[in-house]
Amino acid sequence: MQLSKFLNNLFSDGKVRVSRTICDFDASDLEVSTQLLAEFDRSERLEMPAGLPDLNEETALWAAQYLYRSIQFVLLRELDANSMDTNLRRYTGVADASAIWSADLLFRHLGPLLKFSSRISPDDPLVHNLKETAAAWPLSSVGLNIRTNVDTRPILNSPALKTIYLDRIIAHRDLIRLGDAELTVLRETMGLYQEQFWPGLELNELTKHD
Amino acid sequence: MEKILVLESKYRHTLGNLRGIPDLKAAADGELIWLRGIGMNTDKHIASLPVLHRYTADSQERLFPDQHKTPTGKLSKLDWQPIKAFVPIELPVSAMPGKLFLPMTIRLSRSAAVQEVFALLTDLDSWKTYAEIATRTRLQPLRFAVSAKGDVLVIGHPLPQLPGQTFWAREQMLLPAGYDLCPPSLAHLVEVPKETMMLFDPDGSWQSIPITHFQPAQRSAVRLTEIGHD
Repeated sequence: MQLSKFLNNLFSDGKVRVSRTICDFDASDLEVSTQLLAEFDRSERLEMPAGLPDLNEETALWAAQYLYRSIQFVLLRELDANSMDTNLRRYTGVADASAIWSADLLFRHLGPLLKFSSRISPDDPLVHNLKETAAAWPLSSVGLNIRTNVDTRPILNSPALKTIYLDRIIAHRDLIRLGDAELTVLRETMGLYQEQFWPGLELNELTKHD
Repeated sequence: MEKILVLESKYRHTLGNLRGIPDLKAAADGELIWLRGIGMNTDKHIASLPVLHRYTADSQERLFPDQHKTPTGKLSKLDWQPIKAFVPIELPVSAMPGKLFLPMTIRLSRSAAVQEVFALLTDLDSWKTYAEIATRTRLQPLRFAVSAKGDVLVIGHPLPQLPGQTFWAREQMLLPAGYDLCPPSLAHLVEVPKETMMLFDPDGSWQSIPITHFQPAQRSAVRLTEIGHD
């Protein structure tokens, strides 16, 4: 029950433990983990904008395992870097709005992990792997000073995800996420109160960051 | 010969008008007051005294009642004093300073001054609809309170663009937009209880709302709000 215990701790107090060895998660562990993810999704929705896409359990479960394994690679320095590709599997599904939301339940914790691993060894393959993952999931990587390499339209076309994305951009003052589409919705949100919500930001003078 | 008058002591205060008559003296004798030194020209104030007995005293201080030739007694040895000493002047006691507790009706009048709005009175449905889709950025600066009837008072800045009535804040008083106290200086006289906001109607009526009734405009809090619940 490594993964389910990990998720339980992550969702309850944010302090997690991982196994000292890499072992496959058994089926019952994965089943309980899926239930925990569904419960967490339900509780998160209460504070989120209306119209959130449905939970994609497979994506959420994949993201949970990715997070677990990456923490193992950060902490267990004796692990063979060559096994990283096997254990930190790339996402093979469609990154639609549902997948973006589902992955974000876990990947919103990528920031602290990336900072921690970067301090230990900035050029570590794990750091590069984490950065690539962050770039592939733009909703979860706002504020990490990472340029996204994927289409953000699934986010901007979902009113709920767009609202969450915008809130995070404003909260982190993440200028590099301000493309044309983001600038438009940013103007709509802040209206005449740019100085209150983002002191110093002068939208008319901004140029697009590619 | 000398005129002597006798008054009851309860009329002592009437002697105050005689302080200007020179040589007039008075003496107390039990329940009576004796007057002497009246002279021959009777002053009008003396003529108006509530006299009990009138005498004429000869050089031996024998007392002859008016119109009588036989003395009925002799003037007693008394402590004669000038009227100024017998009826000393007393300064009137000043009225104590105090507060006037006159109730004042608060009135509002139209004001041309442009004030930034700080509160919005709207309905729960409109507020919930807004909170469902608003960014957290716009919700965070706001707090709200709900009445049992479903009225929602939202405070903060900037306010959402929702149907309802807007108010501006004069300290703890929420005045309808476009109105001010009449006169505006009345604001200094209004004592608003601490931790309370006064919500005014244009007709001057108001209701008191404890600040503790306002809660942060978190999406979950708005969603879980039902009419009739705090």
